[in-house]
Amino acid sequence: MSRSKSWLIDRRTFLRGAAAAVPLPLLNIMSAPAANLIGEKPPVRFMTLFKPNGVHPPSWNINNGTEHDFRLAPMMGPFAQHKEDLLFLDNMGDFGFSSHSHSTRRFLAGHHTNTRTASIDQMIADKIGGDTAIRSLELTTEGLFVNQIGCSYISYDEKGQAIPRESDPQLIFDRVFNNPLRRAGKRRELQSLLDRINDDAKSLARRAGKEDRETLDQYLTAIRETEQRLENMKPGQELKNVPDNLERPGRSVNMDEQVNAMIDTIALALWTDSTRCISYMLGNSNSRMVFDFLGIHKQHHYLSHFFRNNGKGNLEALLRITEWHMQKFDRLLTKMKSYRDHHGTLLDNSVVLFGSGMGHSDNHTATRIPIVLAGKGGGMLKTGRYVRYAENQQLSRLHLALLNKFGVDAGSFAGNKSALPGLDGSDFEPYKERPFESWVKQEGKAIDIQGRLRMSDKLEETRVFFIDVTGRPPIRMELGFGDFHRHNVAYHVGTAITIKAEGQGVGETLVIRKIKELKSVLGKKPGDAPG
Amino acid sequence: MSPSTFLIFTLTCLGVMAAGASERALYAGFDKTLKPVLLKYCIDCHGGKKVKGKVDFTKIKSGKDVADAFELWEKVSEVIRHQDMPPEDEMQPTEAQRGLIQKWYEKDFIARVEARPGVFKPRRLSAVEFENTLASLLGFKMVVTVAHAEESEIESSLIEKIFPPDPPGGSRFKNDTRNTPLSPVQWEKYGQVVDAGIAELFSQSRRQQLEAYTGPIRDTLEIDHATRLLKRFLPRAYRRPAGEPVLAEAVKNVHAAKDIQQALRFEMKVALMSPKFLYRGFLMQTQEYGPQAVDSYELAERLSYFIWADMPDALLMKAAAGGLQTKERIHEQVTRMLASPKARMLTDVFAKEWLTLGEINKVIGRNPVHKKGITDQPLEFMHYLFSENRPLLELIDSRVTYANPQMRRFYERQDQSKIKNVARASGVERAYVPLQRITLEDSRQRGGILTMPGILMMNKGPVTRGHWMLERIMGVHLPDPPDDIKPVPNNKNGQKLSFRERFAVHRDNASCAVCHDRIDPLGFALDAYKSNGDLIANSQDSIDTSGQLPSGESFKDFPGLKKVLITSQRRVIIRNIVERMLSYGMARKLTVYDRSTIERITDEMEQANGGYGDLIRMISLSMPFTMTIKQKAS
Repeated sequence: MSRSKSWLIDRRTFLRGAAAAVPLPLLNIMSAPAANLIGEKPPVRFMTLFKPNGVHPPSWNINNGTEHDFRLAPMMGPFAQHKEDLLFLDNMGDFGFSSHSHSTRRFLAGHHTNTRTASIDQMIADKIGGDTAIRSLELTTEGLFVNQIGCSYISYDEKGQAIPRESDPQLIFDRVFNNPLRRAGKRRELQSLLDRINDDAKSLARRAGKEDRETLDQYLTAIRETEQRLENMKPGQELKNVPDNLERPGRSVNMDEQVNAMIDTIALALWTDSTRCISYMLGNSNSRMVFDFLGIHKQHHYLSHFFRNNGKGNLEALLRITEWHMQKFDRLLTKMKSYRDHHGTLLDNSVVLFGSGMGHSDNHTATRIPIVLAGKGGGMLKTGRYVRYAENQQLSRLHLALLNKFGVDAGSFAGNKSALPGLDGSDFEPYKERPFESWVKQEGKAIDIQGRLRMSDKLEETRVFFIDVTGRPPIRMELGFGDFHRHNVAYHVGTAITIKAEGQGVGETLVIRKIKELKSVLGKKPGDAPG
Repeated sequence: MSPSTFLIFTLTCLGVMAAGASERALYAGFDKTLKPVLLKYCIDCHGGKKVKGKVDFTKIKSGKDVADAFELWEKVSEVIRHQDMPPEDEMQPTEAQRGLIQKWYEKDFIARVEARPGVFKPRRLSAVEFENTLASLLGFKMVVTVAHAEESEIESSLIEKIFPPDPPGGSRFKNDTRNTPLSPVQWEKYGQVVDAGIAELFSQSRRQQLEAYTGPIRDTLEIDHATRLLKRFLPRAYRRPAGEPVLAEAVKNVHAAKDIQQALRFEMKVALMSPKFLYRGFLMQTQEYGPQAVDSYELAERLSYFIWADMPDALLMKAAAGGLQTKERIHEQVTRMLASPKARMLTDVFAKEWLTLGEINKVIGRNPVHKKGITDQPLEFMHYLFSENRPLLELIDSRVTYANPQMRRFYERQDQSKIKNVARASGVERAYVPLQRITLEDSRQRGGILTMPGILMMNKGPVTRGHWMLERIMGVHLPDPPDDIKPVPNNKNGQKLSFRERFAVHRDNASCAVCHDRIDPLGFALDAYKSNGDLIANSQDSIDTSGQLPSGESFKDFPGLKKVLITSQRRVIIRNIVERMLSYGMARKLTVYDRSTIERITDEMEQANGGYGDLIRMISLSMPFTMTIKQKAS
């Protein structure tokens, strides 16, 4: 489908679809709300998507990449189609380790000690949300952990207090689109309802005794106030150009449906400019959700400690859950691209911040926190790049940069006075790895290799790795649990290693099934190599 | 008893109200006997120079005032009997004068106030009733979608989540909505919920529930489907036959519409937003004004909202259609209804509000997995008492309890071993272990509700505990403490007084002592239990838990007090349970006109050692429950 043609799908097509209770088709590009089309600059939206329980670094980290030439990590497969709309930030975070609740506050408030000020989504909402029907939405997937309250919130108000979250897509849909006072069709329906109920009440009054009549009068008083409000409706409060027949999302039977419905509602709310600022948590930061709809019956947090709770099938289950999170990020981006907004898509006029508050989900390191920005923000961001900073960058520097871009007048944020460079293509100091040589020496079955280790792109192959060696096809390693565990292979992913192994050619590919020795090239001990 | 004799029986109980004459006589008696004593001993503090405790005798000016102030006279009789009033340092009435007051109260006042049913007033469904009724009507519960792990807290009920909570009414129960008018905000919330409910009924996933009304739908919803739905739906929504004109109008509107489904949904919304659905009673058939038996459908509603907090089911509606005003038929329905799982509402609504069990969750720890057992224990226990028709006094004296492994520490060795461990599923870090029913052997200090950990944790400190016990178990309502009380002094240097000793000095003031003489013995008897619910080991040497009730009984520890409660205070407690249950069942505050009903039921429960099921049956057959007074429109 060519893009220019799909712009032409008009709203009537959409309405027919909606009336028949068909969910909105993906990539259904529709004309924009008229208000957006009149010459002026489109509003920029700020959307945050939070991923619980950090990441499994071997499958997530991008290694061996430069700003414009990089290979996506295996876990990025689900949203790889949006590569040109993404800005990957690496070497973000703090040194040391982080509790779940610290990591949650860090995500939008910069640092866990920054407990007296608003999170950036709220500061941005104050700046850009003034003339929309709803200032901001704070959404989540999971119930509240009252005993670990800090793990349940990413959005905080100007006093640093947690902002209550909403999880039901139907309730959000109703709040945004079904308020009878804000939509003409709904108002007409309300008026005839009031007429009918008044008739009803009159017929009751005829046969009523003293006590009945008092109660009836109370009821009618409540209705009269609603009638008054209907009459006094200010035109400005009306949601314009929102189709009357928008279909309310159905009742979700599992979390997958719940999140899909919420993402669809989010995209619609942003597109109709009902709100410009939304934060959405795919789970509490120590989410204990059970993904039974994926056939996984262990809790997410338990699985995320993939060393501590090492067991048959656990890593596979964790990666499957993480992949699901990535699919939801993909759905959000795809949805946002499917709406035409001004001269581009909704995504073009938005900044989407996706990520987590910690890096390594098992040992809770706060370095290399997953952070991806999506959308060009109406020109704020230069996407399609991988920005790996030379030094670790605190999230508050990113936050300050975003605040500045959205025009929030902030000299510092969470103790940081200098904004993160590089988001809009400006200069930054890139990470430099010490160079190393790569080679293969083969004598019969015995093979010595030096090269960079990476995980298989197929996430279900948790014990399949590749070693990249310059000038030849990558060497494939298919390991048994013993070797995988003894040599702590996953720990070295992304770094240069030297191995002594046994293997043989299978067609073009050299395949290794047994490791005799594994050494880190740049690090002294296993696991202390940078990256 | 045949149907007709039962009706005659209830009508005889009602008596004939000759308000004018009896009120004149009432005032004459008051003027002659009580007023002189009040003027001499009481008026200084209660209506003269001061109005203490909101008691003002100068406001009593007519027979109607005397009748309406029945709670005041009950209290007067009580404080005079207990010699609580006038305070010790004031001039005291003579023994003869005290006797005169008692006599007036019992012979002149109580005897003259004849039993009569409550004045009929339509009542809005409480949030819980609205929720249950809508669920019964639609065939599914309206829930909020939220994925959740075991330990997370969620509000799964849509109505609980978006509705403003009902304030308790004059009866202290939330189903008593008569005096809380509907607010516009709430009307909008009704609209939101009703919209959502109807939308869900017409969604693919609720096809089965929709077809229960429409009959099988092959492709699209036809006019016949819509007609069938309206004919079945409207009578259910109104809890009685809808009436031919109402039905005809709805059917006509749908017939005339271009979009059948849209028109049908609108007709349903009109019904569900109407006072006929949202309130009870507008449609009751009355023969004339004045006292009368309620009609069969009203009685069915009274039964179902009492026992289920829900609309009548099909069987009850059928019984109502055939006439429900016989003792046997009511009896039969009540027995059937008590056996239904819906009767759990007696626990989740009535017991929870009566014993403030909803408060436990708010004051104990934060880990939902840990607190659930402690919160649920008294609820499970109450459900056991209700559903197995246990004698009323087992409320405070029972060997049955409910516990899970996390609650082992509260029980003695032998009982601990009865609580079985349940293995957690692999990969689950936190999980709640359901409560198990056990019969206590060696935990003698734990039987009954008063020493359940949740109750002890909810009420921290002797005063709160005593006050709760007095109010909730014994049915004594004390006035608020004065505003100007000073805190209990701390120990001065070198002093080693216990809280009880320091408190004794503090409350040694006549106006404090009036209430604290009643509160403190109950509360301090529980001092062997810490505020985390634990029992202090060997406390008999170190802690003074002894006391004496104002009525004279003394005890040395909590088991001693418990013995007093189930023997000499037995009737007081039974009476309170009867009152609370009747008040909830009627969804209104009790009045002096209910007095004889209360006494009669209390007598029977006391003599027969009746159970909670028996009590519910008796209330269901009682005059206030089966009758009403309809007033003329002025």
